[in-house]
Amino acid sequence: MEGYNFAYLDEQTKRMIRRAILKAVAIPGHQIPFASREMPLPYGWGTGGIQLTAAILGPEDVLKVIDQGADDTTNAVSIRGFFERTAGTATTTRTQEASIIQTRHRIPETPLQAGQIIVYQVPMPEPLYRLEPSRAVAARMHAIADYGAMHVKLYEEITRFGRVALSYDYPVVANERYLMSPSPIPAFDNPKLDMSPALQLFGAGREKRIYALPPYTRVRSLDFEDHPFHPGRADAVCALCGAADSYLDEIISDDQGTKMFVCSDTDYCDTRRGETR
Amino acid sequence: MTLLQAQNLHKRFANLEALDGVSLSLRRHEILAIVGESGSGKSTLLNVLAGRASADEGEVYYDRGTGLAPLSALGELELRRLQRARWGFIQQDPRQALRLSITAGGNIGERLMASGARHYGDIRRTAAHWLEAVEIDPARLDDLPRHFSGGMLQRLQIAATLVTGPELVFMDEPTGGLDVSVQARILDLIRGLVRRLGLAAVLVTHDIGVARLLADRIVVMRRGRIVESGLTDQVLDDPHHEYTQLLVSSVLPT
Amino acid sequence: MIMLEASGLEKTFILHLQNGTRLKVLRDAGIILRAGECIALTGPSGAGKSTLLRALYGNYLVDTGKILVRQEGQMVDIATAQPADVLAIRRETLGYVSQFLRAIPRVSAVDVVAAPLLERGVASDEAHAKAAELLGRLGVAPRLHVLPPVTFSGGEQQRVNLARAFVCDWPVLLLDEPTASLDPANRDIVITLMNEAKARGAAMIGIFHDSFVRDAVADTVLRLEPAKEDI
Repeated sequence: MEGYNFAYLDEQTKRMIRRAILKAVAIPGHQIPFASREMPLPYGWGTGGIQLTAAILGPEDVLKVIDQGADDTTNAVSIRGFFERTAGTATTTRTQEASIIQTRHRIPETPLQAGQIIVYQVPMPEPLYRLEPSRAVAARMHAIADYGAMHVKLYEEITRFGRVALSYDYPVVANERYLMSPSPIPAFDNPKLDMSPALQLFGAGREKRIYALPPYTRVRSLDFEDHPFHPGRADAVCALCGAADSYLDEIISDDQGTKMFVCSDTDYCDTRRGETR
Repeated sequence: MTLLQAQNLHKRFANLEALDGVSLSLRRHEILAIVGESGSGKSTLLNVLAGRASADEGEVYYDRGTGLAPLSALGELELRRLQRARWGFIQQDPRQALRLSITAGGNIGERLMASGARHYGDIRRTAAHWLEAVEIDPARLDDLPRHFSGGMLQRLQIAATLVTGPELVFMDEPTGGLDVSVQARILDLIRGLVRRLGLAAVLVTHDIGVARLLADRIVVMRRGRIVESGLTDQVLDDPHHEYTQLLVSSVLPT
Repeated sequence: MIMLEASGLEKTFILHLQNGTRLKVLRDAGIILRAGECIALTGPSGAGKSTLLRALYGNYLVDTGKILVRQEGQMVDIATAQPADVLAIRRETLGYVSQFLRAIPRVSAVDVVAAPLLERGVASDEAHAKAAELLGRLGVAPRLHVLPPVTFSGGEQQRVNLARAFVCDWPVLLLDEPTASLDPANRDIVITLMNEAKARGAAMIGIFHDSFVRDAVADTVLRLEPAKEDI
């Protein structure tokens, strides 16, 4: 595409982002500030994830983009199209075929493999932001692993609801050291973060932070000994492919309010049904 | 024997000598009151002793079990760990120290959780026990402190501070701002707990009656300096320094 | 056995709030006290009787002199001891009874009386039982035991004060007008308590305004004269 560098960002910006990524990978779960650039879409639409993808994308890569698990929603289509135009790299909807997967708020059901990179779009990188309004204080808390307040939050949930009711963006501890927001993925997906063979990168464009989990990092969801973490899932099977082990979206299919549950991960569902898009 | 020691502390704010060469020491299980009027430097001294502020000159030493060592040699992480569990700090305004939108139980449990407690049931039981110890109905474990009275909030702060079994507690006017009748109850509670738990404490107060009630030893501060120190009843009944005599004679007889 | 030996005591109060007026109250004062002995301090008002007593307790600071008290077999100088050591002596060895009770709100009479025992590590049940017994001997009605003495009459408060003084054994006991606010019946009970303590080996120094009491308990009388004022 005329007048634009490969994958839109200039090379100096890519280097800046890659340096941030290296630091992030060196300290799993620790937030690294970066000079987030103006992108051709507003904050809140995945600018962090796009900048990460742009910084690491090469001509040989195969890119998959999903939004809430689906390849065919507006955002996923736009972002995929963006990289097709600015980089000309191959794209796919098949998880197994992708070398880079950019995702908003889900991890694919198909287990990731060594050599793959998954890029998460993160709205709020700071897991403590509701508990501690001051960013300076929160930074100190991370520096000395003073995470009592976060456990207090879970304690309160158990007190109020009998269990931890957080169903997405459930806080985790990376590498037994840093408290981290896994981005608003459902709690159901948290176990997939743990010891993943893939490199996991997290980008928040508006908040200007990058963090990462190198392959095979221990990631543990916060819990109590007598209230262990359990991934939540609707008690149903996918109406289309019959899967009982995937995360389901609840869809209202008519004006009478008829509900059906369908796999959130479209590629997974299609593969199970033997279809390709 | 000596648990905490300050040597020649100096601290200046603009042109004001808040601490002008202050030295003192505290033994295990000993209660020391720092009295003086506002502006005497007593709160500054407390904050420096507790590691919440640093002195411009001089040093604070603490014995963690292996002899006195300077606080400045501890990294921030070690200091915070100390402050989180083995030390306690009771502030004058409990609203500053508590999280008002977290339940009483959550407030008490926070220091436990920060120190690694991970069993919900145990945390809850401990919190309920401490509510009883500070004379709050344990049925209020799940209530929000925003509906508590001033006295109850202060008692909650005391529980939330003592729950980790600290060996040294700093108190900054623990009953300031409370009604007189409420004060008496809180002082009594503090007195009982401190004795029962064998705590060492440094207590800042402008109220001589509080010092007399709670403290073994007293230091009198004026303009950043200690003008008199000794056994509490001796300093208050037989004051030597002019300022101490003024302070003691200013108390309205009951 | 000598339990307390004070010598060379000098004390001048400097009243800064009265233009630095100097008041010499003790001049070369001294006293030797043996176990099982009671010394009565006499002398005119202003002679320094209370001052001497308070100095022996460490409540007043002497300018010079020694105040040696036998604590765990050693003679410790209260005049120069560390506060923590003075407190230890006051816990184990040296008791002081004043004319009136310094009442703390909310603490019940039985708790006030049990306190010295609790501080020595006696079990709560035993301490409270002994406290109740003493209160009984001094005629404090059982229904008052659980009430804070703040609400009692002067005489009742003093009886609580005295119960606390005699609830445990003090090797050395200092008494400042202990029976001043008591009626004759209670006064006699206190005399009995004092003599019982003496028989158990207590060494006592007391200021007794009432000559009847003095004659009933004191073995020796030490008369103090007012120290002449320094210019």
